[in-house]
Amino acid sequence: MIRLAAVGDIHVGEERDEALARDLAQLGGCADVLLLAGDLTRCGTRAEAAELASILDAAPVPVVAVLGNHDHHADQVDELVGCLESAGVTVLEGGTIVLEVHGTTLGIAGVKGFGGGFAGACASDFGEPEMKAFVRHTKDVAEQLRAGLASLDTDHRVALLHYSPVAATLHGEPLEIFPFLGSYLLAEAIDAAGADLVLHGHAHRGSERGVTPGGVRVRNVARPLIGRSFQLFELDPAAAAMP
Amino acid sequence: MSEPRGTEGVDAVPEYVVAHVHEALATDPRVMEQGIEVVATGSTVVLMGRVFSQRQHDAASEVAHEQAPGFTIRNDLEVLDRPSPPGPVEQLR
Repeated sequence: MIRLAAVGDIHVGEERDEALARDLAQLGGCADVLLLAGDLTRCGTRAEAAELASILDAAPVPVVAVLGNHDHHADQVDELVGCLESAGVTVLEGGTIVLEVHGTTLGIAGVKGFGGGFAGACASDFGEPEMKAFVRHTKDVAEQLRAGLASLDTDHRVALLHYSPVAATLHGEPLEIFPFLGSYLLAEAIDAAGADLVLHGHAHRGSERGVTPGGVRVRNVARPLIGRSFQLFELDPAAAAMP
Repeated sequence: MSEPRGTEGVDAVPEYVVAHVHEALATDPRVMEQGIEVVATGSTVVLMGRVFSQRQHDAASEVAHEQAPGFTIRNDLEVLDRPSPPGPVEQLR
């Protein structure tokens, strides 16, 4: 039995988030691993990264993270990732990690993801260079996600994202901004490779539960949405990863 | 920090005021939250959603006031600054 704690959009600033620090320091009693679904900082500065690292350094379980759009704002991604890695955090951007927990293996494929919208109402790889670059970035990260999941030969597979692969977990946000909150290309990649669970954030006013067209559970764990420092999930050891 | 606005012309049109306040809340370093809902009702601008500290909550009022000086700001933001017990475990069968 593997128990996951997951949260996105913790938006750590330079000042101490005492509530978050205290909750994450006590994770050991209720979870085997902590998954962070992006927007770890408010704007991705070195000072925020140091504060975040000091909080995560105290977490008593392995921590795996993807970055979000906020983490890119200050253009200091390398410093942010380096700071997190020195605190023992695994940061995924197109990569994977395999953890062994209670005799079973957990594979995690992580990408930030990106926008573009959902089938029938999405941006196309057409027109101005800016629009093509936008859509191609989503295509690139979706392909990284597909390849990452496909490479995992583990008892369980989890896709960790910041942007959403489905519209269902965005409901509550204004419909007009859905194309900036996720893309169906991410769901298509997940369904092509298979997974047990998808975790994402980004949509603070969205909904917690959804499913991909291929039947993979999707959970929006944005902290402002769930209203607590993390959400807990238990993976059934009897359930094999979808083909 | 966002550039303050006035009280006349386009700066007094509620649709633009909402857009300016929303943009400033998303980009001003004092707040930097994209998920804040901004609504203008009559001469009042209402802020709704969740932020992570009292400082951020109070800064949202300051930023909104700078962008909408002709409006009353009603700050209904909830602050997530208390430790929370773990919630129920979702069992994925």
